[in-house]
Amino acid sequence: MKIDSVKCQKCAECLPYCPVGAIVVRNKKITIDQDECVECGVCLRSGVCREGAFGREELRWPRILRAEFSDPTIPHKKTDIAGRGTAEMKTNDISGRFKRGEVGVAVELGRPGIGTRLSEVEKVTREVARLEIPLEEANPVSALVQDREKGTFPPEILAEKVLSAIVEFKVTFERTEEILGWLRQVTEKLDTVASVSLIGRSEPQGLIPLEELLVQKRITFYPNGKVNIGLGRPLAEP
Amino acid sequence: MVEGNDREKLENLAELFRIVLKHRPINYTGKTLYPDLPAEQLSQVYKRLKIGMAVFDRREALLEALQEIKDKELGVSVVVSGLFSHIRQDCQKLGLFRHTVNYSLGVWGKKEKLPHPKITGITTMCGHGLVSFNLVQSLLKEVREGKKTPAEASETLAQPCVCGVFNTHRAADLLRALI
Repeated sequence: MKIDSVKCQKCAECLPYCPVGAIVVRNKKITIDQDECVECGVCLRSGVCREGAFGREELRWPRILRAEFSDPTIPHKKTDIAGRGTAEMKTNDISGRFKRGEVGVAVELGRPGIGTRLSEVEKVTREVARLEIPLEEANPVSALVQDREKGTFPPEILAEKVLSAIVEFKVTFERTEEILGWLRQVTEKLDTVASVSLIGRSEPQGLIPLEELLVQKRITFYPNGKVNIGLGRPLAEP
Repeated sequence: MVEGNDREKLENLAELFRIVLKHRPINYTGKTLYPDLPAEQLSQVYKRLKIGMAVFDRREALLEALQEIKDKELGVSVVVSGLFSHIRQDCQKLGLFRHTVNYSLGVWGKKEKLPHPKITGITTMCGHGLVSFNLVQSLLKEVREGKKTPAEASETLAQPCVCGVFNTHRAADLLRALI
């Protein structure tokens, strides 16, 4: 994002709107810290600037990744899905992405509200590769992986900052506890936060083995969340 | 939500949202992004985005909308977000079983970077993280100084959330608790 210094009246009303605090006062001028800006577009869309001083420059590789991962109005090229670029479990009744006996794992780095460098995301993809677990293909993070065996990204993108990025994969139900223990160790090494969630498929009568396991093993989970209520057709799995 | 470009499914998604909007959600996709757009054109937005979201403050209204969506057999994937205990009860009333559930295990990693949980309680209503911590603090100050009511402040907070999933009534309640 950029600020037109001629139009800007230095009222500073825009400062609190930036989710990553990239709008700053420097040398008595309101400016954008380009290294911190994630190109989410909040400053521009909010209409907070009555002078219309905010604008967006044409973004080139690799900076374009900031907008793709941070601005929900821009769809990801790989998945054609806006926002975080993945359908997760939202369409699982039709897609059958997570089947019975499988558990989905989603590690959203940078959420809530801190943001992340892609180098932090790579720390997780490297560890997933080390365990020889395939990443979810219909997810924009997997498109960034250059070396599948090592889980590494191209070096030129590592310093890019985004609001959040989800590393997604699935494991067999039996591996759930092992993966959570491993994930605890991986996230301790991060220089950002990560929202971790598990996705469970129900048995025919609505019972969800993953929920039973979490309760039984006293693994804390929020009392609220997202539920696909199975209205999609045709069903991938009866 | 619809994955892919199935025309019939996208039409059905638009129809689904005609039903949803009839039941008067307090927020929905397009409300802040296209505030002056007539309902018919709004349905084109859903077809383009392949997804739409809506927030209800009355469980009965949500149930009525879901019953109508179910009866129409639109075949579009529907996700309900809320307390699991409520959703389980509502599924029973609708004669449905939960299909797939996303369980949040919370925030891991460098949590010391986060502000007070009462602030994140408001900002995380926008899952994309577009509502800034600083905006909450700034508006809270205005509420404390009597320049804005909690309801007015919550409308301002909902603005950056382009998906329309920000619960303005809940945000106003949380702001009141912070005064």
